[in-house]
Amino acid sequence: MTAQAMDGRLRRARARPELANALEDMILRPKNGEGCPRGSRQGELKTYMLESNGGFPSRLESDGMLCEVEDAGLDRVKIMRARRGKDSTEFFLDMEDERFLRLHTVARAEDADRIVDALVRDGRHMFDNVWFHPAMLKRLADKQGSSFRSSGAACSDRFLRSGEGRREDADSPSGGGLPAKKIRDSAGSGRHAGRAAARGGARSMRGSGTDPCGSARDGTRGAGYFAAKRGKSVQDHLRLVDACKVEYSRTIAYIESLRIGTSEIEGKMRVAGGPFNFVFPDSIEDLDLFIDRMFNSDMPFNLWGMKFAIDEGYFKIMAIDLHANRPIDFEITKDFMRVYLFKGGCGNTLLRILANLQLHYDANAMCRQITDSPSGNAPD
Amino acid sequence: MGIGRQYKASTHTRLINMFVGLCAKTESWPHVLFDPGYRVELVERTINMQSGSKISPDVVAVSEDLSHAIVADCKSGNNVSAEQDERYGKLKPGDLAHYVAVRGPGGLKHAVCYVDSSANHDRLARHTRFPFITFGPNFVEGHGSFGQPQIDKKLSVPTVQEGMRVPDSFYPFAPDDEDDEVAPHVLRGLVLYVAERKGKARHPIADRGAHERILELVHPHAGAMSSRHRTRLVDRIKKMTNMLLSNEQDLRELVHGIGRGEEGTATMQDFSTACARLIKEHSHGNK
Repeated sequence: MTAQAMDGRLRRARARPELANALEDMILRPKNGEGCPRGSRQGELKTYMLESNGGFPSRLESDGMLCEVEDAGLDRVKIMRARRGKDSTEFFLDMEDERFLRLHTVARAEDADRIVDALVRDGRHMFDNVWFHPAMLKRLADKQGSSFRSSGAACSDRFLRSGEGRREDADSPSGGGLPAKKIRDSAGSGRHAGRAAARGGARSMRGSGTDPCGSARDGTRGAGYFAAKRGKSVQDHLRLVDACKVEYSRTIAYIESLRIGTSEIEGKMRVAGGPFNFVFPDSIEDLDLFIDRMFNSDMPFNLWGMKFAIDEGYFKIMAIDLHANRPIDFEITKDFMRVYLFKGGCGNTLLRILANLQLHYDANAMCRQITDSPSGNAPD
Repeated sequence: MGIGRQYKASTHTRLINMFVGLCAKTESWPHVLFDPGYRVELVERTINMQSGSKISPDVVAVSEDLSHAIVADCKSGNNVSAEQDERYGKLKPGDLAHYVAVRGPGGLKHAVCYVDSSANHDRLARHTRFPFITFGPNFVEGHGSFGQPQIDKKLSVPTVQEGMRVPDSFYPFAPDDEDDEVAPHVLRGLVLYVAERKGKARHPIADRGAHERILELVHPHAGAMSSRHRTRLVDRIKKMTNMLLSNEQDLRELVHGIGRGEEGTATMQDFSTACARLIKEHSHGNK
């Protein structure tokens, strides 16, 4: 880590105590949920990281939900209240980085999940989850000051035809997640077992594990969700979230530097960029189904596309990324997929594709330009 | 989804993409020019020469490592015009300096070359002294000297690669491409344009500004091509937009629906269906 980067990090850490205090107050505030159902996680600090291409409006309505943003008396931090009928859920909206917003709450995970999901699904505001692909999750959980503790595994039937298999969608490091071993046991051994099970979440530890007041144990999920599972150090939780944000934004910047388009270099307009190459070590068995599920305009891929055959077993998809409303092209065979991200396109889309392919289709699917990117391997 | 019809770009557009693919790290496509450092810098750009005449190569790729540029003209037919050949012969190293960065103490050297397919090569090669980069079904090879020993050596033997898959998306379409090649790009551009303007009172799709914007949205090289080439592309988009929207009421309603913020899954699926039908109607043999 360079001295400059260290200095930047220290400045950031010093700039956050007000937010940490406000969050501690939020945690300690008397809960109105004495009758909360067993298993709910009210009181636990959770942070959702969202990627935003259009800022956060002061008021937005979406699918029967009204969100209003008001001043929190803190620098670059607002309070967002989401109301649906009589229910109201409160978040601290951290706008220190306006592209990567962080929403902190102690509300029940089910309520908060529903609100964040509604924000992302409403395409008008150009929000997206951030997408930690499984290798990134492990690396983030291992970041300096943290130690990787365990991972949850996930598999799903998103790419199965109806009636084939059963749904085992477990995008959580706790509770719902099927351990990788169990998936391997049920799926048999060998290459296909690894293909079925992807890391959908990770747990990490910061601070001293013997001192609950000076440590935080965080659960991190692929779609940019951090939950302080044990321990009471809000600062440690915030530092982990900040460190993940820094690494994630570096990766996005690197991806966007490879976009295809024109740019002015040394006063001359030139073209630059190239495709991202995804490879599938285990060939795609049903290419029609694969393409149909990826480009059906639905979550999690959020892509619409027109499919054309270039050659036998070789397709071109002229797609639209519905998150950013930008064109994106694909060329797909059973063994590889080229992705053409054009200038103006959102780098987050590439991470959305990689993370969800690994989670829902094949844990061995790979895009080396992303996983081996300089930012991806950058020292902390 | 489910359009599934054959997509064949024109041979000329395809050759541009094949050449550009050599300069990128492209899966299942040889990167013989990427490895020695060639990167595409100009596409469809007119170059004014000191001699007073102009050339319009399809692609210029520059290797900073070799201080060398390849000025490529893609040939889909059987002929090289003697007049064009003569103009390319007047290109001097200094002419390129205004368009690409001149690197290295000795300045930038260059080679003009034609890009063709093996089926046409013998006939084309009779008409010119310039070198060629020639694509076959599973190989790429060079003919003649590029004035750069490393490249001459690399291209003098065919690079054979089984399972070569033509990259098709660097350069989407050209002004002279057929309607069925341009239509999908324009349809997508229409959706992007109205989605970008949703919530605003009007969607002036008939305006020149709209066609300019659609070009920027669907053609990644629009910002750096010559004004003549750009004007021709805008004209092509205008013609196709007017044709699609004046003849197709359901498409017009879908486009306006998307403009009103109705681009949910169902709307986009309806749009897919409309696109599929239109593309089928506009494909070869149905015009």
